[in-house]
Amino acid sequence: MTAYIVRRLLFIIPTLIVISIISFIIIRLPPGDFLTMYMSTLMEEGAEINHELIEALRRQYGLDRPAYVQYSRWIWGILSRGDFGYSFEWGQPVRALIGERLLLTMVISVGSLLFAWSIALPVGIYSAVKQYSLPDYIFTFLGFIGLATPNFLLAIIFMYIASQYFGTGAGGLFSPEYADAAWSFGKFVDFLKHLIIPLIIVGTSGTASLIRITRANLLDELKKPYVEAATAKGLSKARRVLKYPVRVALNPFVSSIGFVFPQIVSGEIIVSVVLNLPTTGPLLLRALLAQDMYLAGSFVLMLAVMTVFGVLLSDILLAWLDPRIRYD
Amino acid sequence: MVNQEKNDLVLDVENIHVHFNTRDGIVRAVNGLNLKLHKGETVGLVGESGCGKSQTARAILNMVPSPGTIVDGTVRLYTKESPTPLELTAFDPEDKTIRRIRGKNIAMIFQEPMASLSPVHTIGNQIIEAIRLHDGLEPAAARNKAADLLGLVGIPDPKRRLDNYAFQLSGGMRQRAMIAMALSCDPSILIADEPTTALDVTIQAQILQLLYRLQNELGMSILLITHNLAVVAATAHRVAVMYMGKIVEETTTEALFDDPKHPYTIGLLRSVPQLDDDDQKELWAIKGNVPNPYATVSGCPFHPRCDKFMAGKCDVVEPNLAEVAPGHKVSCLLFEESGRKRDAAGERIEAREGEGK
Repeated sequence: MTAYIVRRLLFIIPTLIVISIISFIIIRLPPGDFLTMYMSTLMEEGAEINHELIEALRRQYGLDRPAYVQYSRWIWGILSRGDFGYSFEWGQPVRALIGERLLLTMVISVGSLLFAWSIALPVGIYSAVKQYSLPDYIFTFLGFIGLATPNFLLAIIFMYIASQYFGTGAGGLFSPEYADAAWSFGKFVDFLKHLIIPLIIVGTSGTASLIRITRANLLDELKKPYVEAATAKGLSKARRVLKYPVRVALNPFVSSIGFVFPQIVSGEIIVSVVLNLPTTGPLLLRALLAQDMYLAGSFVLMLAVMTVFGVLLSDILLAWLDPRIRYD
Repeated sequence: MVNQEKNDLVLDVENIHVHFNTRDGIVRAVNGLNLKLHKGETVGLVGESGCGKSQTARAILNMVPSPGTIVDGTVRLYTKESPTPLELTAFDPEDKTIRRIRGKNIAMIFQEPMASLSPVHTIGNQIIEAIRLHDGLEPAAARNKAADLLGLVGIPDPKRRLDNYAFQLSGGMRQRAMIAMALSCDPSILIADEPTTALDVTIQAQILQLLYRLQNELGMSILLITHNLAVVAATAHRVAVMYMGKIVEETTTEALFDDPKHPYTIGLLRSVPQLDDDDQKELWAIKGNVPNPYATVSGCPFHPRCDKFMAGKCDVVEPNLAEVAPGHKVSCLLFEESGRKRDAAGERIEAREGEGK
């Protein structure tokens, strides 16, 4: 087990290097850089452009250097000083901009995953054990709706319902009076209240697909001879189903951290824009539009790193759950 | 009738019918089967794939898989504890009483030990579970007993093997572990459903020897379900030959091999290739195929494939299982020629089948 974890941890290093390079390439793919965007904005506003100033800025930020030099400097800054570079648009270090937002993104993502799991596991088990029963059909129907409905549409519907029938806004993560206040118990409770709707919205499609996965896997497992052997042993239905097939069907469930996680993170971006949540999503979108390369690059990098660690976590959990992987 | 039996009867299966209601029709997997099992006896239940042997085993434990149901018949279990037999078929399949019988009084081992053991639990975990379920032992005591059981079935270094997973054991060791699990609560009856089919021939012999030795040591009765006549010849005291959900011949193992009566049994025995056969000789086979499971054959179920078919008789009259020699029962019209009267049970079956049509 230890050897397995060490091996997995070592594999992460090359993965992260490749990811950082790809993130950097993606950020630099659009023609031009932040300063060309900046100039065109100035021109639209009819302002005079000081070409010497632009060139000076370009040198100052190192935008005139070749890409690999820019990349090395950026990575070196992250590794040596935890410095993710400078946001041109905001005129602030990236680290200061990202900090709290990244935390909120993680809270929403992890929360959504837990929400999805806590619904999907019991519903999936029920649907499989009572296959073709009325509740199974209802869950299947709701599941397909959940799968097919885009998250942003759900967000809009929720906002409409919230404002129309409950007189509250569904947007944001804090009430106005707490928005700029320091963290306190009151702010925490307020935050939890606001968290529910984003969790449901972001978690819906993940829940729906996890229900389908659990149901399909469990249906396969329920027909396996070891379930019959457990029956012949004298175990009650609940015990033999929960101990054996559910345990085996849990594997794909756990490995879902790996693929549901990125899905949730990207789903979160759109939902956050619609619901006006102060997470990384809206900031990433703006950074990409403005070609604010270090900000956008750092975001892409951080999200990718989160996904890589999500997969690592799921692999370790899987090895812990399934001896066939552990002893391989 | 029961009273006339020797008092060492442990299991009495009477006129059991198992039907599967599928979208394409009713499959009559077991169609009026009678079987008795005595103390310390091994009965071989032989037949082709799909003849209903395995469903018979499941019906005995009242655990026929959905969409199958036991539509008629009774299974009686005789125990030392109770003077009257326990009617297993009278219970709901999830009833507590029947769950206590399973694994404790009647244990079962299965065809594929790899698939019948959980892939993600140690074999120790699974054996201890069975012990604690029925005996209520403390975990440590149950673990010791599980190790003893593994030793009993011939697994070396049993204490360490308890922590192994099924995939870490060889096929023979897995089946030994399954047997240890089945023996965990000293069952009076062991149902072995094709216990050697998935194993190498040399391992097959070892497992059969193990069952034979355990039977002598523990005095249990074994219902050995197999399609392999060699397995039966090696281990069973009595043999019941099954065809399309019914027993067509039942007798001692010696009588079956020396003097088979039913044309199906004769066909089965002839299809076993012999080592001293002429190389040029073609392998003999029973003509035709096992009929479509949804079909109901009129008269004798074997008549379409029988080489002693009597037109106007075999396809009309349904034969009954009747004694043609002491301890030798056959269900064939060839032997009803002698003008033997049908017994009451036979008439009952006929009457009901008549209503069904």
